[in-house]
Amino acid sequence: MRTRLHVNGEAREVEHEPQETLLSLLRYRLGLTGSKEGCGEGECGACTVFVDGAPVVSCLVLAAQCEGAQVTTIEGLGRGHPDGLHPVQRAFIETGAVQCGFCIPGIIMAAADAIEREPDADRESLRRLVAGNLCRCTGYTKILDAIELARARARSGGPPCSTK
Amino acid sequence: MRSFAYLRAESFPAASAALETPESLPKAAGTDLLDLLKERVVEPAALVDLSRIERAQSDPGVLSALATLAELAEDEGIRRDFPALHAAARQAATPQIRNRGTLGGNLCQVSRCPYLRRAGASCFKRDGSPCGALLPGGFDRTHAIFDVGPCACAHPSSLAPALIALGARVRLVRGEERRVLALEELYAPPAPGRLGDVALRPGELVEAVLLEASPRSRNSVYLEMRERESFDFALVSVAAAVELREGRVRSVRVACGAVAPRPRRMREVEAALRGRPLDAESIAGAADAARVAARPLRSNGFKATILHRLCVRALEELRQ
Amino acid sequence: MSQRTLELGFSGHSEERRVEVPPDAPPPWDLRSDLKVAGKPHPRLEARLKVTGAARYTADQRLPGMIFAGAVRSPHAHARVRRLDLSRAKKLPGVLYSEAYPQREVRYAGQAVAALAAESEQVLDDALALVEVDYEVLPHVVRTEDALAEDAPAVAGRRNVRQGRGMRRGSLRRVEEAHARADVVLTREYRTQVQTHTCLEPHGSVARWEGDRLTVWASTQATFAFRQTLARALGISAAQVEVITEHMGGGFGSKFGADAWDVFAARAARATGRPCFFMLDRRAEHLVAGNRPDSIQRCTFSVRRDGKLLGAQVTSHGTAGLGRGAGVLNPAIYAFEATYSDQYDVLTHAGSARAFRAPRHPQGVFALEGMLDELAEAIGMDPLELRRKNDPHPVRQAQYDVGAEAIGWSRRKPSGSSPGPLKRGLGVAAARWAHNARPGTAVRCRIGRDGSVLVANGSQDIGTGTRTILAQIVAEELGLPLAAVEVRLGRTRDPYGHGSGGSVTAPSIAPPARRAAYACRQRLLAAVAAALGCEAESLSLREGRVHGAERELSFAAACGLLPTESIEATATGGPEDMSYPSFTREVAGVQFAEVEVDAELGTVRVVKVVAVQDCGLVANPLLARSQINGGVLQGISYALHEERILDARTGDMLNANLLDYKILGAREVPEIVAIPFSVANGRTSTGMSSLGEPPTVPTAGAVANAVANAIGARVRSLPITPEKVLAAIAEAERTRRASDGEKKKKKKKRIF
Repeated sequence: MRTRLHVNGEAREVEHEPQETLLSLLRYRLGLTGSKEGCGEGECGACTVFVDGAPVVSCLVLAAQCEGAQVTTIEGLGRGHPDGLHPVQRAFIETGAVQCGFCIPGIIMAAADAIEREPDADRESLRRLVAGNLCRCTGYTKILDAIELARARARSGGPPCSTK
Repeated sequence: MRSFAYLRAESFPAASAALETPESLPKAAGTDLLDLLKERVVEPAALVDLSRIERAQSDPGVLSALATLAELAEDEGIRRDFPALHAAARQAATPQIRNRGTLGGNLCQVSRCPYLRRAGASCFKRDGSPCGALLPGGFDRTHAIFDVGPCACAHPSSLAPALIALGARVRLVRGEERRVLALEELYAPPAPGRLGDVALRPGELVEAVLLEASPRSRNSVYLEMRERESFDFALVSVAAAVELREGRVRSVRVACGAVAPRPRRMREVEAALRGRPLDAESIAGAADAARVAARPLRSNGFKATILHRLCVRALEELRQ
Repeated sequence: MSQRTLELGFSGHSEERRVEVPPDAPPPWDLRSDLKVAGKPHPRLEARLKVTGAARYTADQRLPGMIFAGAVRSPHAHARVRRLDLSRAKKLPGVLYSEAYPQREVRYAGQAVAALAAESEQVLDDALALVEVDYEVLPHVVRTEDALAEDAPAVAGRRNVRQGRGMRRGSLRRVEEAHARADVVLTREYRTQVQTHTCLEPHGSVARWEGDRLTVWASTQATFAFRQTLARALGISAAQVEVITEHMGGGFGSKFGADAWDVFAARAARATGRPCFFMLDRRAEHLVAGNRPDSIQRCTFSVRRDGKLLGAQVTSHGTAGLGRGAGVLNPAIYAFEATYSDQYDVLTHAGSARAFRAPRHPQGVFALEGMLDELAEAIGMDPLELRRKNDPHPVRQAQYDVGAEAIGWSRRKPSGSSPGPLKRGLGVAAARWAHNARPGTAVRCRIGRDGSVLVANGSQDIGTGTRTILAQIVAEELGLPLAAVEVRLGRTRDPYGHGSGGSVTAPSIAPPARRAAYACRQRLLAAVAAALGCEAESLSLREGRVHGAERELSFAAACGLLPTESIEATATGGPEDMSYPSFTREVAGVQFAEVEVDAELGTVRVVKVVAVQDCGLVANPLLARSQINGGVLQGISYALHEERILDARTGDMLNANLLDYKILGAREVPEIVAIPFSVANGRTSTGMSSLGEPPTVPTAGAVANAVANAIGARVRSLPITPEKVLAAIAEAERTRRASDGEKKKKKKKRIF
């Protein structure tokens, strides 16, 4: 079957099997391998992308259900930001929030949404907003530090975070 | 996943008609269904996508079955008039899944029982074979403590107990036919071939949930105990709604999740409270009543203890 | 040889030591070294690639014509394969290659009976479902306790209980003598569970042949061991194989060599002439890719009333499935007068264990530290005081102070005295580790006439930060900013490096990196000495410039004077830079935990963990903190949640996913105060110590002790689940009521 959608701002028309997931479409059909498959069951969040502005686990979304959707992946998150880095991405680099890095694209997507959705969230609420993403290396501590840093900068008049 | 045909339905009647064909399944977000498809626990020949169905303009008492958990959690009216529903929706799953998962899907989801969700394992509901949890050496820690018959599944929905406590009804649709049931009547006892425990007729779908705001619904609460806050299903959940008049319980509804094969209306708890002042004594009595009918399995007796204590906490919150 | 005086130790506790430095080696860094790049908090070099999704992991390889492989796995723990029929699967269009493994018996659930490769993932999935296997189910045993029973089915050979070499240590006679002198002797049983590694990136590889040369992209923590094991399995020479691991998503001990699936991918690729992709799914990860063995530890410990620890005796049984290595390591931290341990492997029909971050340590320390708290309670001594009295390590003694201050140990109340349903408690536990700098890692450094600097080593960065540390070491030695150094890692055509296990990587790779850079530096200075009009010995390299007595040159200009296109040196870690006398013999660590227990529901929330960890000289505080945070994360997860659940009847795993197998999420993680504790131990020229594993060792013990302090009852079994907490509280209440009753009847001497 054929699905038309926008991926990172570009119109795409993709031929695929009905049972293919959005993750599979992104990784295999479009070569966007930044979104990772950690479990295939929506439990780890490594495949998080935005569909029509909201983060979803792309391993549990059928590609066919994305007809006409606007999809943003980790590869497109930094578009329009200085040096191609979304403030959350920049903060992750600076605070050392990355270790093996496998879970990071998914967490960054969830975090980018979190600081926009709840700009005044305290640390506890931020934890809730990234609770759908598992990480086995970092202890989350610096991940939360990074999100807070990015949010603080956005508040103090930094570049806007929205990329959706 | 087995290959299937994909059909996009534009309306409930159309979806319903498409589902009359054998081996077809409905899919809204399908966050639960996709797991089962990948595991080949279900192998439909066709999927009928409900997600594009135009939602009727809802009045405040009618929740579309296609509303996402995130929408329910963020709705100010729900927060004000149905706090139990707000709490259940807010705690369900993960942010990503709440953005996709629907009200209807949450109500019709399949138990987390590991025997049910594993092709090839022994499971009463899948094919009538003995329940794996009840066999010698079986894992029954997370299973039911009430109403265990040939199947020990615990019902996973968190929205269902909240909505039952709120007195919700469901509107079902099949072709042009519609019928309305009390939500607790949607659920049927475990039977082979009926994975989701819902008594829907072939082609029938949940279209909407009907709620009425009342003093009781505004004084409602939902509490759950789970092992991992970040993402987990409840081991025990309790929802209660109480209307007090002149210091006494005028009307009350209590329901529990994850403790029985179906979401369980706790009539014995309601009876212990009705007409009495809502105080420490009546609450203790009601919580005791909650576990009278409990018959825990080998390793889940602690769920009865937790149920007791959650009942106390829930009712304490409603004392005002 | 030149003589040097080093200042070793740590702040407030240092000493001078004379050492002999070989002529071609740089003198070791010590407390006086004024480092500019090494030891500083530089973000990791590949961070940008990782945050933008550009970093390519194994599963991200997209090669033209690539095919996909998968396996049919037994759902039975023990079965005879009566019939295995691939014919229907092979007839499916797009199925390109298959292998059947008609072994007589499968011995664990998850064991592969056949494997297939196909045109696409969908065809593969359909084909796997078409493989027909008829199993005759045989008696099996998957639980350690069941396997110990007289009439248990034999797993391999006659007996299920085995004792390997070195699994009986110490003197039972001396321990019994020590117990006899004690005021308190306690016997308790502690248990730990099977934990799976749960790397976010599954195991697997992508194989491609070009003629008789094989290139494999692999998720491995040992590129060279992977190459060796794969070549051997394929019957080819290792020289024909290149293994590439540019980025990898976690191993924790489970990814040390080529596995059956990697061998299949290489064979399928050779047979079809197309690149082959084989990554495990999450279920297989849990079943076949390793685990930490469980343990049943029967401990008899004794103490004198003044707090002197006397005897420690441990008998342990654990299962590594069909594998070996289920021993525990426990009475090793404190100065007992006598210790004795007797350890047994119990064979079961389950997937084999693999090394898992600090093998044997967390399980042993959980029991050891629990016993210490129980002894302290019995003699009425503060648990921290008991440790201070018996801990011979100077670094840990200092760490107790730092940690106690950071957690607020003085707030600790007597166990069980916290009122109300939400009870707070504090606990402490310690760790030891070896300074695991291993000789044999080779690093090549090249300085180009264009001013470029390249460092290369063929081993891998598994997320610990090896790439960044290498660049820091070389930049430091050459007086350059970090950005001037390019690092190439993870290709076996580059010089040899060890597998990342035993926390050897940074301590082993840094000394040869420094010496290779040092050699290049000497040659560069020799080449420019004439131009600067002075002897090479009088030149120095700092801040990107070559400084002579009167004149100086930029680094780039200096390189421009090189007589050849480049200069290059390869150094191999060896006695000349990694066997100086060391300040301490062991790496020390201490952790404190604060928990809040909901005593009505049995849930435990870890509020705060303070982790003070000896790092040697800290290579990079950002990276060091990350290692510590990660160790604590896994330790809490192990303490409270993780457990492989096997169905006793079928032997199949019931929670082989990431929902029912619960690893810690963002909401469970407490405030972690990671305190890298810098110690100049002087052992190697760069002074870094092993850091990957020790921070996960004491966490479960500290958390368990904090729980016991909170509720006044002890859970001696991991994970600490709600039902265990509720049962321990109920049991303690029963005991208290019974003893209150006794007291009323008659005053009686206390018996422990």
